[in-house]
Amino acid sequence: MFYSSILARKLSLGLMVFPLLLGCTGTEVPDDVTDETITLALNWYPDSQHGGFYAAEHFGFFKDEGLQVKIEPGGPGAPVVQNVGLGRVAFGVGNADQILLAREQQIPLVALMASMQNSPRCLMVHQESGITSFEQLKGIKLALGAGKSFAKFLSQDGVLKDVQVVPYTGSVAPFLADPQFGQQAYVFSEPYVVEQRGAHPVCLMVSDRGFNPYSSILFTNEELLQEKPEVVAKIVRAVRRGWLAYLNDPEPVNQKIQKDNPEMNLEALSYGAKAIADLCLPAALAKADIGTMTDARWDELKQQLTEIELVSEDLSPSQSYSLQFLQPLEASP
Amino acid sequence: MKQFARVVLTRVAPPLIASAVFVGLWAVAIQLFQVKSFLAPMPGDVWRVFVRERETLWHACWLTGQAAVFGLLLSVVCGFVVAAVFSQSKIVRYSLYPYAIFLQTVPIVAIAPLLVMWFGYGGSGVIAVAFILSVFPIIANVTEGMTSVPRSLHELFDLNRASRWQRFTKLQVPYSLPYLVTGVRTSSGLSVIGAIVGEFFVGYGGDGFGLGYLIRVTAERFQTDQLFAAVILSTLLGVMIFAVVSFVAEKCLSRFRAI
Repeated sequence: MFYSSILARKLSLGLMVFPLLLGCTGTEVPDDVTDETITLALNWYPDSQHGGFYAAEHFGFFKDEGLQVKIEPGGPGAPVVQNVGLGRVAFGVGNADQILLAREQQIPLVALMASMQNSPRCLMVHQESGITSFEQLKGIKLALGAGKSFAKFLSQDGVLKDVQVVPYTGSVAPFLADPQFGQQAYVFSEPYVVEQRGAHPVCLMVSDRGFNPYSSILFTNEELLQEKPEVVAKIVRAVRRGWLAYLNDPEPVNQKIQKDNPEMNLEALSYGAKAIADLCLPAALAKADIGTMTDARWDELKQQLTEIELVSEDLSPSQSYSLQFLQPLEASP
Repeated sequence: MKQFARVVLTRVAPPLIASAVFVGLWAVAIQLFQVKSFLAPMPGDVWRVFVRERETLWHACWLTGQAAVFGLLLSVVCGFVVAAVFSQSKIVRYSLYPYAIFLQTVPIVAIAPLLVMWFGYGGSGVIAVAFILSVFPIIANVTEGMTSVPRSLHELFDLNRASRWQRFTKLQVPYSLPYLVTGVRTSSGLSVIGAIVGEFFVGYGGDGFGLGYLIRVTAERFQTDQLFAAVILSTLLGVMIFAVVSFVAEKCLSRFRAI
């Protein structure tokens, strides 16, 4: 009968939502921050952009601080922000714009350190397309992830008006198949992969257009920061040391990364480690200051996100990050 | 007037009351379990989104709805033709039926690159996905209908020395129509799902964004109230197509019903 089917649909919708709600009880302090294992959730498949985290594990920096850390690989759709926001996971990795977007929705995240000072985000096109700058972007299909802040920024910037934006599914296959196809990429990752398969990629850095959020940020839940700041301090210190160690000696760490992500080969990871060095430690930055962040950069990002209508004017960025663990690193014991 | 009142009381009021109860339970559950707003929004927040973003939502619903309806119509036509062929030859049916099942079970993510290659990005690709998801119930149900005609009716046609064509058009087709209706009812929801999933993979360009795109974008930006609005609208779209199909079916097929 007609109306009982509608009722059935509504009931089944309710039944589907209910188990979700049952998982959402009480406390904010992550269940896993005891003397036991702390989880660090990555935002994507393990890659050179996570080198510092794996290095901290490999070289025993977490152990030095008396902590047991488990790195959890991510992927497309991995709910890192939600998990950290709900307190299911202690630490997560993400980009600065995600932190502000989360805060806009009252998700209580706090950024602790920035693995990459400069964003690796770029648009990758074929040399054959003849495109060498953003102004020349026309007549191609461009695969961009739905809802990404940088995509809205570029769109508002006016450089996407002559391209056909299509969904990005995470595979480089459509790019390889068509010289009039471009896609989003991280400068140290996809370009190398497609080059190995015979393509000639050209990268247009989004930061050149002025959108440059901190990347591969380590973040945690506000509640954990308030209740156990000493644990947070230890994790941040270990991770910062990890990044310096990774940039110094990436090979053994890359083997660990590959174990968690067999799709990556070691050459690609090696290339990635070299290419990421500039982004993590730009020339002007002292090694002891690795991971540092500034109020000015966060304010600028907030301003940009407000202009493209992703966050409201009255969002206060200062709640979204903490500079208290970013003193110059002492030389290791 | 009394007829109208009866219709309202028996067909319209119950689902509305059920909806009100459901919305009430939803609000209570969120308060009771202290569910965070970014996990599940309050009904009031979702309502505000419907009001505030009604133009965007309407535009997206219209686009997705078009793709779903075209996909559904295509699957009815093609499904019917395939079922007709299946009903006429056991050999053809036994050899090709498994491929029809393939259409139901193949994961769209696996064939998305093929679909893009054949149909390109945009409306035709989305309609193709909606078609693929909705065609199997039509094929299965109509084939079942055409091959389930009682022996006695076939014998009646034998007695009157009916040709194959007459048997097909005057017996098998009318007999299968209620089965077709069942198939289309099943496929009405599937066509909406197909249109939405299609948008995930073969999407639109420019400002052609449907409900699938909205779902993706709002999820990416943790805008759970807007996400719920898009999802609810998708559900309503499926319900609406189901309702229209049922109405048309009742009007057209009342004379074929035995009961």
